[in-house]
Amino acid sequence: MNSFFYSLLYSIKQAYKSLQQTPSFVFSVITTMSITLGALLCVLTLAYVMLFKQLPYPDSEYLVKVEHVMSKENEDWSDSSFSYPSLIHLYKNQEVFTDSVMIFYGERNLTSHQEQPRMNTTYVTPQWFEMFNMPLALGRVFTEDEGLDSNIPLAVLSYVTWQEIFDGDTSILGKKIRFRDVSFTVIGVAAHHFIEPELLDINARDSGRKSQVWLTWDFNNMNERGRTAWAGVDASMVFVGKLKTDITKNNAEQLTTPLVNEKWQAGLADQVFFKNWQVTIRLKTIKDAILSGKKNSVLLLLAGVLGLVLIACSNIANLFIARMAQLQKSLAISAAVGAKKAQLFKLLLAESSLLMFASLMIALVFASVGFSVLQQNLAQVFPRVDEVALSTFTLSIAIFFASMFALFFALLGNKMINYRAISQHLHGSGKGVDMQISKKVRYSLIVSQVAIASVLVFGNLSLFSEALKVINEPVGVNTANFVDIDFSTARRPTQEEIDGPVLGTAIKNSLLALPQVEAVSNSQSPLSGFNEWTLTNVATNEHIIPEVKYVDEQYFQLIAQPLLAGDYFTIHDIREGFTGPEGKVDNMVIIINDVLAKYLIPEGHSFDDALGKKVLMGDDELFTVIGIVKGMKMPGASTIPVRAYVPSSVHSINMTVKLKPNQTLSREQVITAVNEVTSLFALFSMKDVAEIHQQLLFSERATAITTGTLALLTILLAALGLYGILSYSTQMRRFEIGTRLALGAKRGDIIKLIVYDNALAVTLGMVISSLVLLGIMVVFNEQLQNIINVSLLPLFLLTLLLISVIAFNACYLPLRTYINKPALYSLRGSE
Amino acid sequence: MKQSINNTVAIKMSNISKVFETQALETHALTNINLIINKGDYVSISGPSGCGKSTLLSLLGLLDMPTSGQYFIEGEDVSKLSLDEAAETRNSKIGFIFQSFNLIDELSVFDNVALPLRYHRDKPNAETIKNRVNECLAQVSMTHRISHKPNQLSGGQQQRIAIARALVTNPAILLVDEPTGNLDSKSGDQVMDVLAKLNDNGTTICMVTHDPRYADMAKIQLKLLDGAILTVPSLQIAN
Repeated sequence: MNSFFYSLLYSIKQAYKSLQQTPSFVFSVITTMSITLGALLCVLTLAYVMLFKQLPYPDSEYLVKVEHVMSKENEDWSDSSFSYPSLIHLYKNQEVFTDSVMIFYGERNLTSHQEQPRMNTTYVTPQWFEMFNMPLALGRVFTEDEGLDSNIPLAVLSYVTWQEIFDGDTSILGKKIRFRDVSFTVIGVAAHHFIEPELLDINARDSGRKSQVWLTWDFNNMNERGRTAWAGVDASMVFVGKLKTDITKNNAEQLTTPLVNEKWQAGLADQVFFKNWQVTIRLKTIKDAILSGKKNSVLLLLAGVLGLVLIACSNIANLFIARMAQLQKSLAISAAVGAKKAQLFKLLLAESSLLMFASLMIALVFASVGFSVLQQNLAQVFPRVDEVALSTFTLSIAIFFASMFALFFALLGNKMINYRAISQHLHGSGKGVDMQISKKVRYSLIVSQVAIASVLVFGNLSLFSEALKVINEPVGVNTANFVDIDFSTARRPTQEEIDGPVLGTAIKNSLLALPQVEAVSNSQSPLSGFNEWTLTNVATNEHIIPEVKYVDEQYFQLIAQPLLAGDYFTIHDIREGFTGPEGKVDNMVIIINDVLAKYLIPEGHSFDDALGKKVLMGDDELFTVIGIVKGMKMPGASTIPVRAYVPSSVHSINMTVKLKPNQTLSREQVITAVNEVTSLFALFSMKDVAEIHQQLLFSERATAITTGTLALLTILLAALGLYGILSYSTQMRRFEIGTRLALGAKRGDIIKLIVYDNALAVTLGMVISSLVLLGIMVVFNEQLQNIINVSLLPLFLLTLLLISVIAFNACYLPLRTYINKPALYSLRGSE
Repeated sequence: MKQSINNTVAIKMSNISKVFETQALETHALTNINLIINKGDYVSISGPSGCGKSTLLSLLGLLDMPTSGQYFIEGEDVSKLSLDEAAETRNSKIGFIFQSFNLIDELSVFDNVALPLRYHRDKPNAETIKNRVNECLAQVSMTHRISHKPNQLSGGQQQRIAIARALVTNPAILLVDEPTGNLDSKSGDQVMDVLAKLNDNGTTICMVTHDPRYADMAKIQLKLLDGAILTVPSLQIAN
């Protein structure tokens, strides 16, 4: 045993000494390997956490998210959100879950705080804390008797809220905090390491949402009307249940569907619109719910990184091959004094292990940096990214990959040693019998390098250009210098305020009085999102579900959205009531976009024919189409949906402010301006429209950055790899080059020779990459049809040109040593 | 640049010196070499290891440039040529024969011999190349091996191919570096016979060797010691 360790130690020492002699080789291998291994560990850990890791909640395999799917006969409504009464009914009457919780995701201003910050408020029933196993830093969580209908206002703070908003106040328990006009008693603080499940059905803007405070259910944002509206659905409400162990998902769906459906149909019995509609309950495992649609992004990233690993391996293989040629003499001497094949292999293994071990250490540092980059920047793209950390899994795969690579490179090195050549080396005392790697091996390395690099560079460049295209796509309306400002009520209005002058108009005027403001529209900004309405085309009785926005009479002119037919709204169309269209029920008008207009008129007809058409909302609210505007594409969206615009109310407290050129507006200035008018409203949110634009493009920007980086890394590694193998092969042909120079070859002749010689391998690599890409296109035709099209041909040619330029330089640069010096230099031995 | 010298002179070196500089020291490999080789001469240069034989041959072959002095081939000053000009002159005026043959393994015997013609400024056509290669192979009695690869031949045969290659552009002089160093004595003798025959037919030869037996076969024998020509029996020294 002792002798084994002694021999191991000896091999490692020898390897270390030998590596000390070639710092550039060590540097190249460790740099390449640590970057690649770091990226691999980072992405593999992310993929593992997202796809395989058990959720950190007890009995998570029994947890399901319940969906409430409304449909009419064969039409399936894609929305799977609950209506409030359905949710409560299910919560009170279900018998398939041992535990169930209701969650309402809201936003409120913390009005008890001086700065009135807007916070993510999450209203939950008491079982929530047990179901998701929330550890506490302080206090307690809600108890059974603080659940539904208890009406006890309690709050549990997130750790970050406690630290950042309340400065880690240790006597926070028992203190009151106020949202709107309700005071909540703080009873607990979550522990720092709690990982909240992301259950909100996410669109790009809300994904990665973290609750800042948990409040008792009864105080959720749903208004009185919504609490009894069976038809009104809201994606902010989520129902999670823990299945009884003897009930399957299918069983549970079959049992709960009639339970909800009967009650729901009864609730809507008096509404003609919902005749023949029904509700189906669908269950999704909580893991699928959290992962929702994000699986592809991580698989794509994994594919990109695996490509990088392939290139890196091929690079390092090149370096090892060159190294073997260098080691030939010392190996020959070792063999001469009696070293066996196995002993030489052990030496190689020690060398590659040392290199991989060093790379591994640095890779772990890179991976940790990668984790925090992911958490800070890509939480919106990858759910559960908070759980990503250096773990046993990361360490195990790190050690596994490092060992595999070490073994692979040692075996490769071993295969490269020609043991017959070693003895020849000794007999021939080195003259003219230098070890050479066979031409076939060299060629296949060049071919594979070029093929892999072309595929990866092209793949990344096409995703990159696609993302860039979307990022740079014009919205179709003017969004420069706009600020989107929303207010919320800080308390319930007094009767005087309700009866008094219109506050919306007063706030608007007060903002207009600010010197930097050019115009104010009583509408949400064009990029702030839309509501979904169900409309009925009166002429055909067809249902349409357009996106709807309340806008005032200046909106379209202000953002320069083109009018295709009819008229814009006028001041007379603006509603005078408080909420909803009830404020003004006679002679209601609507403006639609061209996409919706096409639904209302026969094909080929002019848009003018859509003017005067009637659409019905619900049973009694009739709108007349008075204008058609050109559709605008939201940043990042691939299509323009059907949209409608209805006049806003004079009471509306959503404003879009246009600033004069080069002016800015601060939160304080807005708060002061509003406080001069009323104390009823708090500033809810204030965002530059340009900022909203950037947020909407988040995933495209993330794609652009990721693919751009991967493309650059690929190009860099491919260039290094091609340079490595070609410079090695040039080095091996030194005598031949010298001989040709001696016989009268000029520099140009030698360059031509080397370029022509490698052109075949490079071309073959390119042909293979084209075939691989064609294959990918055929196999994944459906998934890729949006991305791959003829316009990518120039990009592909550009990729090939880039690879050719790299290959040419990789041919030329190593040659300079020989052709720019007298021929004798190449003809001489290795001195 | 033509010099008005006797048109029987193949090579003339005046005061040629070569100094190798490294960080630590300057090595004077050759000092003030003066030498004339006339057309049809058979010169051998010999001397102990490290005396400067190979350096002198490299300078003669334009494989390296002298530190100082002047060098003429057939009256043309070649002391200060660019790398490409030197290549062109090597191609048309000098034939090399190396100790380790330096044949290119991937090329057939024919292509090895034809190689200098492919780099020739006149770009001879295929027919001319074929005739010339056959002619040269006939001179070394190797026409029967025309499509073999070098590694299918014995050392002596390889060296004869190398001689054919050196002859193919009708050079002004053959520079021969230890032609028998890698050969057994029988093959060595055969190669020396070929060289002697070529010289009898008018080819100018300058050979470096440390083997006194072969050095004696040359008509003029130069001895080098410490970078200078030591003895010059029956010779002409340039002034």
